[in-house]
Amino acid sequence: MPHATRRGFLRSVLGATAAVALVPEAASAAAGAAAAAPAGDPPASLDLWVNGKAVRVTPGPTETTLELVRERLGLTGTKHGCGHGACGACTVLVDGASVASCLHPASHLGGRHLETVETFADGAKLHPMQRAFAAEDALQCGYCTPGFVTEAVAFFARWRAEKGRVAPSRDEVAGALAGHLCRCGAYGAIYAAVQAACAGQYDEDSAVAPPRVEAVEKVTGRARYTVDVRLEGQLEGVLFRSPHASAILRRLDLAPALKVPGVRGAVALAEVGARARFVGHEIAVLAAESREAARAGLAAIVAEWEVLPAAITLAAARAPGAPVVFEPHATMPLGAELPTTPAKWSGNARGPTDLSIGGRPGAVPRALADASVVLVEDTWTTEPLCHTALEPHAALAMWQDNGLDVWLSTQAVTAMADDLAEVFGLTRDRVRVHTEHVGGGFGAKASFDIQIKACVEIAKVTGRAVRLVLDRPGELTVAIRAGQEANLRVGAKADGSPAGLDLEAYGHGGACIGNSMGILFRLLYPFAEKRLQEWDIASNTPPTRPMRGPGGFPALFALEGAMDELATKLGKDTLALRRGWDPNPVRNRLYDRVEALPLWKDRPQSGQTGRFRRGVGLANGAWMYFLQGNTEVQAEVADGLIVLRTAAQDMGNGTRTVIAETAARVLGADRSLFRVELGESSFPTGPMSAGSRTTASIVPAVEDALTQLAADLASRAGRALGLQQAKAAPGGVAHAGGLAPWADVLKVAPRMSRIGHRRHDHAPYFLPFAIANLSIGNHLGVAVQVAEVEVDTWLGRVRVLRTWTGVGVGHIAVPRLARSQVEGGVIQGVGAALYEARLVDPVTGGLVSANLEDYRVPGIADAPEMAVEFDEAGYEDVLGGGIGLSELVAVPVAASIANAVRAATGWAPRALPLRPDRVLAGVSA
Amino acid sequence: MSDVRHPTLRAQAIWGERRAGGTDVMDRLHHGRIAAPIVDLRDVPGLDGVGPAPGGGLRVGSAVRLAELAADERVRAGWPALADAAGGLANPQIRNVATFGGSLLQRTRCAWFRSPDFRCYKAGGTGCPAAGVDHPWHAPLSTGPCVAPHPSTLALALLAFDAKVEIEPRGLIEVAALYGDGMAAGAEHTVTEEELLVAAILPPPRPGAVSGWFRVASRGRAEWPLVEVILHLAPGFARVAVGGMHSVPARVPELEAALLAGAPLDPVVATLAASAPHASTSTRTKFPQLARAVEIVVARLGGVPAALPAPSFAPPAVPAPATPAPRGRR
Repeated sequence: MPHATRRGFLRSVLGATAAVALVPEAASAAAGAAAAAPAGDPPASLDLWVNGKAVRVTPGPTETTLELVRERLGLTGTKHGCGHGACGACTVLVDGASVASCLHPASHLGGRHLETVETFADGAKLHPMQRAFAAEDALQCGYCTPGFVTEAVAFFARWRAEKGRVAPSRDEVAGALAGHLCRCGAYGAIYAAVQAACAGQYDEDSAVAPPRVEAVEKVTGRARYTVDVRLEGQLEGVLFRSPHASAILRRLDLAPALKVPGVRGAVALAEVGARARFVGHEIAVLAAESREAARAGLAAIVAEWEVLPAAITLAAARAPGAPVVFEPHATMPLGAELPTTPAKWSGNARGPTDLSIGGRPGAVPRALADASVVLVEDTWTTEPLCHTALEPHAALAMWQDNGLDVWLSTQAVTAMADDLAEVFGLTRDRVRVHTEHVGGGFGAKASFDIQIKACVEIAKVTGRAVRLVLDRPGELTVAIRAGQEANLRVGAKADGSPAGLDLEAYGHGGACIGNSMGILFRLLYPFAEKRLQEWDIASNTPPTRPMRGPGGFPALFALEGAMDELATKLGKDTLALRRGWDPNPVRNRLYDRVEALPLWKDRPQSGQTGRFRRGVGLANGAWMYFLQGNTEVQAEVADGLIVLRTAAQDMGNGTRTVIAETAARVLGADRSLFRVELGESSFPTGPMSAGSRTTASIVPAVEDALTQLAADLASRAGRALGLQQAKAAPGGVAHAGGLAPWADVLKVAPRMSRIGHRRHDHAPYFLPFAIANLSIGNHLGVAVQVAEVEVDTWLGRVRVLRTWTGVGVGHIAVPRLARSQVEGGVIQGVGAALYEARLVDPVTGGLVSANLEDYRVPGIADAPEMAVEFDEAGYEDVLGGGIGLSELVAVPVAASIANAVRAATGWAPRALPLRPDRVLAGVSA
Repeated sequence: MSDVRHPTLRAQAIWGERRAGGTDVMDRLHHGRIAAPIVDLRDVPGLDGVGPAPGGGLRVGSAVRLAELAADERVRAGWPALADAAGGLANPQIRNVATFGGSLLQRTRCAWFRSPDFRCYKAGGTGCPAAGVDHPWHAPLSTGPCVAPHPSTLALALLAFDAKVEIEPRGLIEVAALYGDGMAAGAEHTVTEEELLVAAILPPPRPGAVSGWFRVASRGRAEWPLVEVILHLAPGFARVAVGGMHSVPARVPELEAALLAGAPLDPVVATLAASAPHASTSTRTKFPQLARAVEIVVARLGGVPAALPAPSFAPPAVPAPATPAPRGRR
């Protein structure tokens, strides 16, 4: 049986036990240390300048500048992103010109001046561009930031020399930064930062702290990610994967790999007789002194397969007589975050899972069959997408001090430590997970993955520290969300009132189950009868996992597209129809704001005929309110400060800043009075950052901790200072003689600590019990998304020009960061709507979009001008006054863009992404 | 591990994967697509520089960086489409190191070739796994075994300007001869392991000539083309070089004739589409995109220059200042 963890099954079907674990014998290990010298030119030493200092190095024959900078010189600010010259995370300056260091031979650096992100600040004095990035919040996870900053610094120098203190246009900024990708989607603020810095607004230091607590670390390259951690003698781990989409492993011989110089150990992750169900299925792990040696080891592994017929595409998996992906009683990884309900299998189809509302059998079909009903009926499809965090999945494991240390790029510090303890049979205190900064996650790093287990296993076998970082094709194989197909019928009576909604949904999630979207159809338009049925269609492609708003954007693409068309058929205004169907007061207040927007009021009319046609589309978003009830935050007085700790993580979502700002608000104190420490599993229980739960879980716990601590401080420090009638008040301790500011109180306070808890809301929850510590509250997040597009009807290209997002989630903990997160959701929605699709070969199941040229995420030139507004009322019975928004704001974007394309052209898209060929075929039809 | 040599003589810069800027070679090295030892051109003399060619044209060394090429005033004045394309393709970090020669001789960007999960003809395998798949980036007009479009935008400029390339020891050859007919499954060009691409020779600008580049792509910048065109027009003269459609850089004489005749382009591309060997659902739209792209460039260049014989005393027209590459902007 596979290992059950707290959140379902270990994600590999094969991930049972280590069938074989091997290390080389001492003699061959010694031989490996003296690897044969290459036959090309002997290594030559080079003299160069690195950040102004003369350096002599002797690079290896194929060493890249990135390897030289990171591994040899230890300058880890420069990041490895795509390895392909497309993402820009590795950008350095060579003689002042930006260069993709991952592709730049180190041997070309002789006599050159090399500059990395570490050199731009002069001590504590930041470069104007660094100040601008920090002050404008032009970053989230921060992994791409050193590359952006480096490029922008070079641009700044050129621009100032040529133009002086003037702001460049958006187009000029886009041209300069075209070679950089920010998956968090900070482009709006990046435009602002570059323009403002060039115009001279950041030439001087400012006393104002940047909105994001760790901004300075991120713009200087000091922020340390899992991939940046180096331990003495660490090995590089790599995975051996199945080359077949469906095959039974008949023989696996790791011994030849151990004879490869530098290889230090190998562990089988699959037993002979196990079945691989997708190309890339993890079969074995090995560790070696270098990545090159590890790759050579991989090539030496002998595996024999009985290749079986495979079902790759949705159509093939559904065809009569299709090869069956899961035989009876097979272990099926979960694609969803929550357990699925039991359902029947028929071939590769599992279902239906019935989520209907009302539940009178046949009621909806009968209602929709009425001849007077106005009906929109069709099929909407989306393709599998990749999360594409720029920091790939990364782990560094070391067994030491009678326990296990794992540096991990994860969205779930606490849960990973729990899982590691359980899987490896350790007490929880002997597992130490460390996660200082996380280079993006978006749902991909929330589960206990086979590669984490593999890394820890091989570290145990070799007795060494082992780092396992997925390469980009591996990342694009592990981090996938399901494609979806919605067969949807929405009907209205002649008076415009709802007649019924009928959904048959099919999740295409590869070799896993639980890829649902039907639940989304319950969140909007709460009328009495909806028939909602859904199926998983299994195929021989990699199992998927939740991505920011799982099922959300495909569901709303269908539902909000249908609503738009229904309004047209009814001859009603699209907003008026929605108002009539959804009485949510927050939503109706947002509708009021939409109606006042020039973007909406002055939208272009239909019937345009020129080459470029503009349209404005609208879509509703809704998401659930999740919280993690066991969340704890510790507040401790130390060093004249209050240190706030929780075993949570910040992946760019702003956890640190939310804690610090909430603490400052509770005490009425400056943020500088607090230090936030995250990312250690030894800290009190922290929430996962998944299901938009972080802020909703943490804010009340911070309030609780500081309310307690403030009261204690007032009494104990009050005694120490001899204050009469001391009690906590905004700004300090109020007493008979006035107010003692917190800074003074903390100077005399004894070391003390309080734990704050995330208590139950005053209101009941939607479910009376928690699932894996996750509670579902009785509120919905509300978003209304408006997008303006320009469609080039000659070439089929769609550009999103402007967007407006109205968000109702109650109190916003940190407005500036919330806006950044909303804008990131918009950018990711642009990607889903226009560019992104994970492509596999329909015959072999191999990965076609295996890099960041062929998997297309939006660049800065694709970012619209974005406006964001918050409606903060209506969530007063929630502790902290507000709920999460990350997923909420990501789900309606693609639908609003598709509706805008229809408004511009009259053509209603049915399949995403809206590639030029599809658009051109659509508008020409 | 690949061996790397750094020869210091042109005659020694043979036998292996030639590496100039490294933006293609290093990428392929990381993905196991380098079979031969690497011959680094860092120390090889005589490949640099832009300078006058005998007879009034321009000689562009194969080691000239794309960013230098784009900024070169002589190129901008006389062959503006070449400068535009060099300054608009890829992204700044690539253009700062990638070379002119590397751009001409880079290997295909086909997703199947670049993925570690396949071994096609060009990766030493025996077939084309992509041929049967409907993929919007395929080349519908490929007549050879490989369905990927040729990746070199600058080759289109050379075709449009009737340039020649200097190959040692072969000599000065036509651009068409550099690329062959696309029937060779394993290679993107005809330069053998014993040969070295040294330079390209651009003939002098024609009187009254104008030229322009346009790329049809999905994302706004740093994006490979679905279709792209380079037009070189002068009185009574038209060159239309087309990318994204063929497995080798190609001129489309039918479009050139239509431009000179003032005939509509849609029938021309419809004829091409009708006989396209690899047209599929998602590549069929490349044909109208091609016609529109040509029209867009023609409009930007102020129309097809009238075919009146230019008076012999008239000075050559100064080409319009190059505009940055448009990408869907109006």
